[in-house]
Amino acid sequence: MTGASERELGPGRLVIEPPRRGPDPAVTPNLHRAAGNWATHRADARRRVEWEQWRERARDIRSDAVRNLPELLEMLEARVIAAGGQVHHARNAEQACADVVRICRDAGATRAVKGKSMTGEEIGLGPALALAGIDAVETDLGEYIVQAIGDRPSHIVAPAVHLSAAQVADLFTRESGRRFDPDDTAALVEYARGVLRARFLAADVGITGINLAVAETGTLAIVESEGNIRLTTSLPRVHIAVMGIEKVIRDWSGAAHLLQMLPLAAHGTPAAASTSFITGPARDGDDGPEEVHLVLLDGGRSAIRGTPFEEALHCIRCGACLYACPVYRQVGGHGYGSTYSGPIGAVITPLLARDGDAAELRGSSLPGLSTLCGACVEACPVKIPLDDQLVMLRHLTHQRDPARAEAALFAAWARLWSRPASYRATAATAGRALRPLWSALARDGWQRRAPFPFSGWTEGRDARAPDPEPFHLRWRRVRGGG
Amino acid sequence: MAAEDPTPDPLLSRFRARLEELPASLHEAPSLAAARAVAHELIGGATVARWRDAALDGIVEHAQEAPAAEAEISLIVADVAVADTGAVGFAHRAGRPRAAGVLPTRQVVLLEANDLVADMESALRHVGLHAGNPELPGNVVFAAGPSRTSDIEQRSIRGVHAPREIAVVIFRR
Repeated sequence: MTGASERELGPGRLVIEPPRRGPDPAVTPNLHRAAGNWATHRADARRRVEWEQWRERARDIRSDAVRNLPELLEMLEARVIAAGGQVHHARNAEQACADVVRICRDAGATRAVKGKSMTGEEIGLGPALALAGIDAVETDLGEYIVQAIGDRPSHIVAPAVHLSAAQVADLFTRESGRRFDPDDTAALVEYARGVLRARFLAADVGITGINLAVAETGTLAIVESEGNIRLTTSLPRVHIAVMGIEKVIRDWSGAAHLLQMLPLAAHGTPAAASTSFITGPARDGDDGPEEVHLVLLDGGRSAIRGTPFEEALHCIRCGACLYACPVYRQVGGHGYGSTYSGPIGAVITPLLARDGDAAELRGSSLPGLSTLCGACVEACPVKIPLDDQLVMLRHLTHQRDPARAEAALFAAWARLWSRPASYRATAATAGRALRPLWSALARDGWQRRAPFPFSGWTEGRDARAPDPEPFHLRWRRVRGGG
Repeated sequence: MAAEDPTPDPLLSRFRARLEELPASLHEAPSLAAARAVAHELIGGATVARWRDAALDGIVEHAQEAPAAEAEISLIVADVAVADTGAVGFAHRAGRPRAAGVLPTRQVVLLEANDLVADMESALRHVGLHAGNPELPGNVVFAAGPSRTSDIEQRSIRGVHAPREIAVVIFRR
């Protein structure tokens, strides 16, 4: 599989830009099928509700939340505590991971089950738990597969969308010693159910993200399809929820609306298979967890408030802009090299990375991964102006990161090769000279790791081996003369 | 509101249509006693994890009962249902354990017709999830149809970690 894993980067590190890789032939058909299904579902969703009015209302709810964030967070914290829960504040990823590890240790917990959480991915929680000696298993089927393969999720709501059934069957065959047929999807699911059931029953702690938190009562809402969230938040004696601070909303009326909007935008269905509403730990006679902890992660979010990018915080993580994006559909989530991919990932990743320091908005080429066609804006259930934000970010990253050496190199190269005589004189020679260096390390024509001084380039992306027959020679051959 | 009411109930029609889509089965009973009989029929000889709710009394033999992690069928009672979405909502508390509602592969849910409401906003209020409720339930789940996944090549498979088959028995008191 492709992409640097978070293990290599270490726990608690925000993954900014690990490798961007050449096309994986297995990825594209899966992605296209997924995007096609999504487009059909979206059409269904629009028939079900007054879509434009619903979007307006959803945007208003989110905008109220982000504008009044300090007030709502204070209210949320007070209500969670009143309900018997505990609240932890984490300024950044390291602190959030440390909080979770400390809660586990205090509870004497060594076996954890995890629900799918993009915030967990963002803070590198999996590697942090592993480092702390806590055995944590992902319980969402897609995440379980991705974790077992040693990969990273490639879509906000469909983490294993880049993998084929054959890859999953191979994995389960290796894991169990039993033969699995890639076409028998039900058997694959049944196997995972069995393996995970044992883990649920044995776990001391359940760790999840959330979809929204209702400030007025201190209630956490989590939607899901599989039922793993219900088990993760019910069976272990401790539940830890990690949330980005922007996920709070004011009231239940807003919650009702967003909890319908989210599945409509993500899958075209009017309700998630399951929605859990959690207000504090178990009360007398309830078989739920004895402790509920809420870790509130800032992680660069506060710094986005009050800037022209504030609306990026309205995101409800439905994944619609990913499937709508022509760039995402070609390169897949790993192509972005960041936790959040697609148009929202291209916007939010550099903003979160700078963590309050405007001068740190540097180096990210993610805002370039867009055609600015606006399909994401049209798909967004909370109407984030992603295209405008991408343009503003391009402007800012260009201003703040001229990448002088690279710019000078390209300028010199442009001067040389824009004159036909010097192009002809050097093109074939350069190709021939570089070819052996490249070919020794290239696979399928793609160079994963180039020698110095090009190694910096391939840290971030694959390179094509140079062609020993430059275009003007090929043209001459194909034309048969001249 | 008797079952022989000649005008079709628009809420019930919407609920029925949504359940068909999900899918989950809907069984209509004219009384609680009739609903119990339907549930009894649906369960047959299977092992059952049930909630301690008076509405569920007399449906299964004591010998059929099993711990949640081993039972084949989950027998519970809903607090609310949403016509717009096909979801049934239930609060967990003493006598209504979470494990019994989620671990078995099949589920039979009793629902009183008066607890069927139009939309999510009304449903949240109906189940007590609103500001200023001193008795706000600590854990509420809304389940719309079977547990499912499309994580493997977008193929839709029912039944992952929670029930794969859901039967709703709606009755009038």
